[in-house]
Amino acid sequence: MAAAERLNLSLEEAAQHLTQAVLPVDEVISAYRGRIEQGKIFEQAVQLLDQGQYDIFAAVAKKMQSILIEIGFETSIVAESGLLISSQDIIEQVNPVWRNTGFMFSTEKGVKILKKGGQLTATGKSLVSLLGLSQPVIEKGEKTMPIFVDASTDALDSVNVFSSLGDFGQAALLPGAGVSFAGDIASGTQGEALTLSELVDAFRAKCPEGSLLQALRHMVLATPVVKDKGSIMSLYDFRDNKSLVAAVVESYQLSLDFKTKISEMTDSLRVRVGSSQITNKSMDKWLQFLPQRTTALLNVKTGEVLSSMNNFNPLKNLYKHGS
Amino acid sequence: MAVRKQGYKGKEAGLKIQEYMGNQQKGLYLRGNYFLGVIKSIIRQQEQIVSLKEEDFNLLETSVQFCLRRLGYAKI
Repeated sequence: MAAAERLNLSLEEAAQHLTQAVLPVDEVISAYRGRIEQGKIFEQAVQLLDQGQYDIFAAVAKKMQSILIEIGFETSIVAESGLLISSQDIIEQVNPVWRNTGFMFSTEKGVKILKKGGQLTATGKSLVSLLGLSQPVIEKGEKTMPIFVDASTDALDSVNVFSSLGDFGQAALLPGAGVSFAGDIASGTQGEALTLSELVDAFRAKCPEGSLLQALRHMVLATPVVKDKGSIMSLYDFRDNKSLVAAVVESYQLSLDFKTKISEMTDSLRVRVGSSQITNKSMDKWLQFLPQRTTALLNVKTGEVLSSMNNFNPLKNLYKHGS
Repeated sequence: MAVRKQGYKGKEAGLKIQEYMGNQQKGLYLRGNYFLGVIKSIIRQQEQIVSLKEEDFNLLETSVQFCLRRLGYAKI
C-alpha cells in the first residue's frame, strides 16, 4: 500500500515492482513495519496477495539470503507465494482428501488455492508450504520428513494434518525458540528488534575476525531459555538489544573456550592410554558398553531420535499441562 | 549468572531471579541436545579414568569428534 502511494501506482503495479525487487530494502521494511491492517485498501491488498502471484518481499529475501550465506548458513529462501504457485499440482492430488471437509479449491486468475471460507487460513497456508517444500526432494519410493520449526498453533495443526494424510510421510514440529526483551517477544513489526544486518554489523564491530554462526550456535546450545510450562514457546530473554549483542559476542569467546576444553580433554585421555584402570567400579559397565554406544551414535538418524523423544509431541505436552 | 548474561544487574537482577524462582509455571531451562549430552557424559566419566585401553580411547575420540561435527564445530 505504501509503495503504491509513494510511486503513484495501482496496488497491482506496486506488487509487480516489489516482486521485481526494484525498491530499496529499507523502504520495504519500513513500509511493512508501518502497515495499517484495516480499511478497504488493506482488504484489496490482501486479496491481491492471496492470488499467490506476487512476492512483495523479494528484495528483503534476496538481501537476507546473501547475508545468511555470508555468515555461513546454508540457506534457501522460498516465498510463500511461490509455494502456492508451485503447489498447484500437489494440491490437485490432495483434492479428494479435502472433499467434504469445509475446505475447497478456488481458482482465481489461473491460480488454484485451497480455501476455507473467503480466505486461506493460516493453517492452510502452513500446510501448503509444508507440502510445497517437502515434495520436490522426494525420490520414487521415499517419503520425506519435513521438520517445521515454529511454535505457533497453526504450524502444529498443519504438521498433524500433513502426517494424517498418509501419502506424504510424517512431518515433525520443533517449537524452536525466539528472542524476547524483558519478557516481551522481540518484534520486528514494533521496530524494537535488531534486523539481521544490524546484528551482523554490531557483532563485526566487536569481533571483526569472529564467526557469528559459531557464536549463535554456541549461544543456543549453552544459554538457558525462559519457558512457560503451559506453552511450547521458549524465549532467550535479554534486557535489551545491547544485552543481546553482548551475549552473542560473549558466546563467541565461550565457543572458542569450549573447543579448547574438548581438545585438552582428548589430549589428557591420549596420554593415559595403557592398561584399563578406573577409580569407580561403576565405570566398568560404562566402558564395557562403549563399543555398542559408539556404534549406535554413529548410526543415529535425527528423525528417529526426534520421534522417539518422550516430550517430542508438543501437543501432548500442551494437554499434559492442561492448556 | 544466567540473569547477568541476560543483561540484568543490581535490583533488576534480583527481581528477575525472584520471578524465575518463585514462579512454578515459568523458569529458566537449558535446552537439551543429544550430541552435547554425549560430550558432557564423556567429560564427566573421563575424570574417573586413571588409564584406558587404546581401543577405548579410539572409541571415545571418535564419539567426541562425531558429536562436534554434528553440532557444527570444526574438527578439533
